[in-house]
Amino acid sequence: MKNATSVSAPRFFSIVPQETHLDFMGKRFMGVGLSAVLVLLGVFAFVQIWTGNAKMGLEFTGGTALVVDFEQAVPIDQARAVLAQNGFGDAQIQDIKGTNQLAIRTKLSEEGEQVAARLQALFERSFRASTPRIVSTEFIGPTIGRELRDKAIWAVIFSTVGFLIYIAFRFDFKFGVAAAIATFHDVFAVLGLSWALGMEFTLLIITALLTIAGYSLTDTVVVFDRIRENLKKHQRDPLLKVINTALNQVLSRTILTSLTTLLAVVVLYLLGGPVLRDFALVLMIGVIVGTYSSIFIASPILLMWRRRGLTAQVKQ
Amino acid sequence: MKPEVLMNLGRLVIVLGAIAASLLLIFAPWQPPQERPCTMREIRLGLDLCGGVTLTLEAQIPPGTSPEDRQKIMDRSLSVLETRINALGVTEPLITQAGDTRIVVQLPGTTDPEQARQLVGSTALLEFRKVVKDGPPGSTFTEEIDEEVLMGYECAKPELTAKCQAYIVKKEPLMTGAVLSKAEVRFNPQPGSGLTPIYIELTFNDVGAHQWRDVIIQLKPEADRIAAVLDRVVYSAPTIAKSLYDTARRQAKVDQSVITGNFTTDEARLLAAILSAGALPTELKIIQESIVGPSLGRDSIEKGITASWIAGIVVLVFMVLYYRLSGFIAVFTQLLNLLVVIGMLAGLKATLTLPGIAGLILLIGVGVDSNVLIFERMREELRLGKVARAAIDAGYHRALTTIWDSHVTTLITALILFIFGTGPIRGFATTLSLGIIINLFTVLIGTRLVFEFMKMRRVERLSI
Repeated sequence: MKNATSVSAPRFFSIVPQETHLDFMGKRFMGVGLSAVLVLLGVFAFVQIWTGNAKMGLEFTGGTALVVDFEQAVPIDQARAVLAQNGFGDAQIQDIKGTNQLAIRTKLSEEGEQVAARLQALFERSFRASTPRIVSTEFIGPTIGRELRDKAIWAVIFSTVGFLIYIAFRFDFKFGVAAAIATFHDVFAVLGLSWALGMEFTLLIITALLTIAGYSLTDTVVVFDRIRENLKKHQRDPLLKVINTALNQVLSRTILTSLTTLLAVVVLYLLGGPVLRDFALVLMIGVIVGTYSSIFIASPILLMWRRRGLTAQVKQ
Repeated sequence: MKPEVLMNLGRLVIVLGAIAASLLLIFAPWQPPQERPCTMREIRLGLDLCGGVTLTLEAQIPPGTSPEDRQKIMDRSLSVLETRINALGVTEPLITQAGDTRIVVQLPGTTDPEQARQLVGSTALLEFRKVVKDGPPGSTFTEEIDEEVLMGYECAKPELTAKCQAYIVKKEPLMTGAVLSKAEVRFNPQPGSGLTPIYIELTFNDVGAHQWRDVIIQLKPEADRIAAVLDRVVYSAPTIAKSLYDTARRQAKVDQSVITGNFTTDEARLLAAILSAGALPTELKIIQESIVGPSLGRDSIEKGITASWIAGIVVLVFMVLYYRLSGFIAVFTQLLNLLVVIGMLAGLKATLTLPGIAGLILLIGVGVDSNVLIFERMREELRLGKVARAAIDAGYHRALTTIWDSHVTTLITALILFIFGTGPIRGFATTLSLGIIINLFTVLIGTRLVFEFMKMRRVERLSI
């Protein structure tokens, strides 16, 4: 009896069945169509941002933003009318849901930082009965706007270079290309989806995109490490089988890590307050896309190369 | 002792040391308990969390100025701003030079943006100029080539516009405020003495006192008016009293003067602070301004802390449900990680911002990845029929390369964000990079320690 128990395979609590044999690679073409759409959307969004047609954050455009809290809610039309009468006809005005707050944003003008003071005075005068209180104001001058834009572009360029150097150092050529493509795929897909959701591109959103690039690369690296390990062990198996086995082996890790990250980010989205909401949303999309891409994008690209080439590279 | 035991003892010492050091850094029991703005225990909070005014100023330095002269101007500007801000009693202000010609001023807890703008925005060039004529604004003045029209300070105040006056004054000042030694707010209890209820008393230095005397005696008493002009705005334009004139004739110097006006106490204090600190060597232009009200800051930090707790609990409960006893190891590792990150923030005097808190929350999710990698590998080894000890070693060993990889990729992002990020974004980069580095340590040493302990106890079955 004693013997029998020690021989039986251990069982673990698991969301993913003990030993999966899912044929991911057989379904690899399913992903291609979806990814093509996502990447195209991303490229389109990128062009929109580049040409200045996307909704850009105040830190890039310059101007003044102001959030006012009222004790008694002020109808947005009334506020708009008052603004228009006082020479702020082109101000954007937004109702912050669930609060008595209004967000006002104006373009950069000759008056520079004086605009915030004028707006504040205007609200205090015109809506005295509703007890306005300034929650926050932000003024970004033209030089800073240009500078932050440049900095964001440099951050993206340096991250890209950093990742490519890391990939080149860490992987052989073909794995490297596949990892790089998967990472770019993710960044563009998330960019496209964020744009489609009507998000305003702020520094925080760029930060989220770069974070996602790192996350997605990690995910790809985990899968690729396993494929390389298996290539060495099972030299006779067809490449498709080797990749499939590797994907199945790391599946529970992939799902588990994505789940814990997703849990944390969802909490951030729900409870982190308005400032962090879009940031959390981008991370949420990114975690899902990053997980999907390491299975359905990175690995199929490897398959395109013949097995012999890959094995030879791994052996070196 | 066997080297293995020695190694584990070393690990235990490191872990306990890290816990103790972090707790000490966070709570700093040797510090006298005092309320400081913008700090939570020993952690410095960003102004997005505690409310306050952040201004980025650019010195308008003429092109062609040599780097040495430029730096002199910057140093002088910094010290003038510091004196002004300290005179107003703002607690723990942060005034730093950024780049060649920029100054970042952070005023925690300040709620009056207008005051902050004036505090840094006025060059504070004080001049005494002879008044030629005055009248209500809009009057048609004909000024000579050496004269110009300046407006009274009441004109900019909505509640005082009735008293708004325009003045024709000489372009050439009789004297400037460079010779001022101090300026103080005075209250005048008896009205009717020619002074307003609140006025500012100026005291000149020795050079100034001689100059002031010479200015007075060349004017006609009870007739000529002299305007106190600060940054091209007329504050007061009194006539010279006969008594003052006579005193000046008798003495070699007159070392005091006053500026009267319809000031509120706050305005007078601000004005005195600006005058005392002296003039800025150059105009400072506000190029970025961010004001976070105290309620928004409080709201942000409360939400951030709640979200951190809940994210932590959700992820950790999930880990324990999934990996049972080993899940607790993950919990222990992540708690250790968070504690050390926060300890490091306090120790490095880094600033915790709202995105920084988001970084911590993200870290809770990503940080368990290392544990997941190890646990999954151990499960695989156990499935292959290995005994607990062997599974621990193999699982740990096999997961290691992947763990390194996942840390390096995240660190690349974090470092680049740290270099290019400003303000709150840098806070995100700080917590993320600290967290990633420390996570490596907690996994390699902390998690390992627990498993080594299990090996020493000769556990037969792993609860994983």
